[in-house]
Amino acid sequence: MSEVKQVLTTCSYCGCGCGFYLKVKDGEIIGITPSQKHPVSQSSLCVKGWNGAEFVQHPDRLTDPLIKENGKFRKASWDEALSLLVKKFSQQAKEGGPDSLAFFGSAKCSNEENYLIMKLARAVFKTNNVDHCARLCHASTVAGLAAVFGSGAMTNSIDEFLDCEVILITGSNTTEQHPLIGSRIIKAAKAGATLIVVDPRKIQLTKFAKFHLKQNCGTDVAWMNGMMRVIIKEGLEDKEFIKNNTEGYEELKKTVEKYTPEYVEKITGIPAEELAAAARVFARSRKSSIVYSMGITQHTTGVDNVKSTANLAMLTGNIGRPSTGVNPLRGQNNVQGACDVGALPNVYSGYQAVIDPKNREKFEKAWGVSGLPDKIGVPVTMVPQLAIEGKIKALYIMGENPMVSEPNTAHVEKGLNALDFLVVQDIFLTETAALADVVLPATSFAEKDGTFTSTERRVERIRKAVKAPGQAREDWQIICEIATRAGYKMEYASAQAIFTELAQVTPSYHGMSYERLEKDFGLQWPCPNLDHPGTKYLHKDGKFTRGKGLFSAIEYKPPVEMPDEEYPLVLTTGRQYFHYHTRTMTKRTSTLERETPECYIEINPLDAKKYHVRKESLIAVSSRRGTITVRAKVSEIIKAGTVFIPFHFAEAAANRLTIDAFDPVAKIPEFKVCAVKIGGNNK
Amino acid sequence: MTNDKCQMTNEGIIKLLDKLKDEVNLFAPQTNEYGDTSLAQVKDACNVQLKHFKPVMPAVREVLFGQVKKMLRYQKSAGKTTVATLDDFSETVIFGLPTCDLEGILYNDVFYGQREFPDFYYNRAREKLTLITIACVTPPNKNCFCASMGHGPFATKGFDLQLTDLGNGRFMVEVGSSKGEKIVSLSPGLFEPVGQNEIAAWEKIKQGAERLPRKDFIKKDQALETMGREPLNEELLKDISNRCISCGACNYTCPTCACFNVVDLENQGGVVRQRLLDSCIFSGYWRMAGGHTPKPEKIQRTRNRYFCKLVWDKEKFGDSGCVGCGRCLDSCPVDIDIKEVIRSLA
Repeated sequence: MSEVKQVLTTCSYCGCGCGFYLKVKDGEIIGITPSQKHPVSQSSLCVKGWNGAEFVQHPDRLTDPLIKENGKFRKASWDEALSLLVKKFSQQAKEGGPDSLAFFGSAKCSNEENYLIMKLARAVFKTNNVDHCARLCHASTVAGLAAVFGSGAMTNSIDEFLDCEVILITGSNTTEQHPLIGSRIIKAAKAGATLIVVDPRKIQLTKFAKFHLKQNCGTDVAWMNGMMRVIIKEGLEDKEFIKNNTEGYEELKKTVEKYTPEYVEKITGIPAEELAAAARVFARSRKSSIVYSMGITQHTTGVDNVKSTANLAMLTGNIGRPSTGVNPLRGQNNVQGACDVGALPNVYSGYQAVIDPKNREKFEKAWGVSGLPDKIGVPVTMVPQLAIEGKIKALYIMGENPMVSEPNTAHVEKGLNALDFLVVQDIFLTETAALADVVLPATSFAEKDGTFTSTERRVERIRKAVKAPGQAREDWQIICEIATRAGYKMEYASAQAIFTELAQVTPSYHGMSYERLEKDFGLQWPCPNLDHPGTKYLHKDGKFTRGKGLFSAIEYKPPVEMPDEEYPLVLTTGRQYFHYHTRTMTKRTSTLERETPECYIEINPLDAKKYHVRKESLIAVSSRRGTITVRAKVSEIIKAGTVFIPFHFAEAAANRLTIDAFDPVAKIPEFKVCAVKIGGNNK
Repeated sequence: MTNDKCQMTNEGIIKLLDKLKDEVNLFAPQTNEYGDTSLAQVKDACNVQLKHFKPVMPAVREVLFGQVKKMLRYQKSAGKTTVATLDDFSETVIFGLPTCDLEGILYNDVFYGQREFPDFYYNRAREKLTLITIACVTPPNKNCFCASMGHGPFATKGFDLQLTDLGNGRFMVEVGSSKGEKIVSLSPGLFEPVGQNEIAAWEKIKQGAERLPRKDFIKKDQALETMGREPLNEELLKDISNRCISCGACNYTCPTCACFNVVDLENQGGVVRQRLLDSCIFSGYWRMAGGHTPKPEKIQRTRNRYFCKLVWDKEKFGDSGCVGCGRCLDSCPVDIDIKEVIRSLA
């Protein structure tokens, strides 16, 4: 007789955090069924969810540790690989100091694993050089919203969109990147909500939008300042709320004064009347919600953009109540969690700053160590340059693929090659792993226990459904063994034991335990004590985490690289529905790969004519940093003067073109704007 | 005991399931600790729910085929190629199957099993499958409309045993096949004869279920006839395809969507061939070898789905492919309702 079991777990794609069952027959995953009662899935999934496990048992999975010798990988035992790793890292720490090492956590891995990698970096190797790919997506959110509200996360919950009266969506292609949030926005619109979409692309939600404002890429502060000026001039601001719950209003008012709709139109390309009309609609409702994603964050003005969304919400009093708020949508299954548990260079878990001696003392006590480093570490995006400069010599990457995900690939490659020692722990031999000295085979979400934290701050269980292939080990077990071999005894009986420790030292997770997470599909943080039911929306009644909400007076600054005669088009990059990030999982999922098997460029018919681009032809696209060849999709979806390329495809990596210019505070790259031309870079 | 009808108590059912679970793979409706109900393998007969219900996935996907089915493995070594069939389906009983699911299986019996190229994998598995249905005395959820599609709430054929809750701690048992007879004859103590009183009670319940207002939801025959000669309402199709987020759920959860894709995966010097559930809502489903896609727009694919389900299935198999289970609506993230389409025609 065969055995079929159904294991409830959490989807490992976007941050919606859908719950589904893996159906396992005699050790093989044969299907996925959405949970009926799960608050997000409610019997539904998106295409990635329905096809969310095919990659797990793909023949390409890494099954053995690999060591590179004479430029070629050979299989090695765990003992051999880990001895080499610990020897190299310990030696490097001794010779070059702890800060010559760096560690990348992973938004794909669990809270427990990210907690441990930051513990490994800090407690064992004594460096704060630990970060992960949140740097590339919402670093500006974490920094921006923490500064003005005191908490850098989505303020409200996913189901609340259904009751919104007005939803402003900007820089989020919600139906493709967060489909089960996008579907709720569509349902809200069908039920009468007004949608304001501010986006250079004609995304699906524009079909339901009363306003589609097509801004020039990188002009977000300008249009938001413009909206706020209209609101203030027409007396539509929430005076009570501003008086009682905020500070810094007068400076804001002064700054936005010059952003007349006409002035803003010149910068943004948004018609003055449309901007004013949209501003009025947003301000007049008591249930206006802002949804944003990478279109806001991935700029050199990312933090400014984020703070502007907060300004707009506070100005109209649309925060601290259901169906309002500032709602950054987190793009990865556990990017919220990886931030929460401290895989960041400046904070421990729960955003407790490393520069605060009280926090260091707390963690020294909890971990039984002394001398935790007091200097803020380096973010992911600075590592290639520091490696080239010889300041970082050894790098440990857990489940990330910077060779495809980071800007200016040629520079990243140069950086990784400049390292003395690179370790990559992953489930497939990625483009980054190919450059490593040691590769460690790790486990996918279906092969381990743990927790993910979704975009609505919901901490949910993942559960082991199948065995890992070959010699592959759970990420947390690998980290424990490295720590122990490096002289710090790190031992846990299970993922649950790690979570218990994590909850103890993390105020927002303090009231959580695996027992509690079993019920009702998890808990939403903050959940400070065992009786606390979790939090559906933050800053209730305008009582902000930081006390008063802080208005930020911000001037518009243009992107770093604007089009010119030589590179006349603006390139903006992003994701596409059927693929996910660096495509390591989706290219090994037959239905998803079949839908979009190759990279493409979206180009407006006017530009296609101007640059002699035939539809469906293969064309070269170049920036100052590189050239790629892509299929031309001539389409009205994109406005003239701007082109779009998805960044998933290593074979035609959009990030060969993007610029490694960064937000000064958050160090997030400006993925959304750089200058390109059609054709090669032949000199 | 009459020839084709008998009765059993709730306790008798549990005893029967307890016995079956040790002899075969037994699947039955069970609600887990998270409140989700599905056709799950039975470990403890006491957990089985005797109320009729409708799982997210139809039985044909939940039990008969997964979403992925490994078919064969071929291997080349020393110049010799060997092909091994991967057929792992063993004797299986589904208990508590809703009528819509049974109708879905009957459709698949024809689609896979009884056409020009009978499907080896399907037929092999189907032979080993026994179906014990529970008639839907009340609709399991608000999206059900099997009665108006002529596919429920009571099954008229195809079941091995059909149970009806008589409401007094007893179930009427109809025997529909020799497989059903065998179950009855192997556990004689659990089945009791029925008298006129029980039959009268059963008939009353049956009529009551069929008389429910849902019967009048949709004028199926009229709609299908209109659809055969008039184009579908363009505005409605546009609205549907605008809303659709291309998740594929309407195909994945449909008990009569049988389209599949075949993929070869290289593995350890050999190749494993597998079959995957597919969805006509994706444009890649349509793409031809040269790259041309005959239905590039979502609205074209949406129209195709309704024609396939409602008109072409009728032409090919004698009845529309929609059994009225409402699963496509249950699992649609944007509430797309096939009933809207049918209603727009009649």
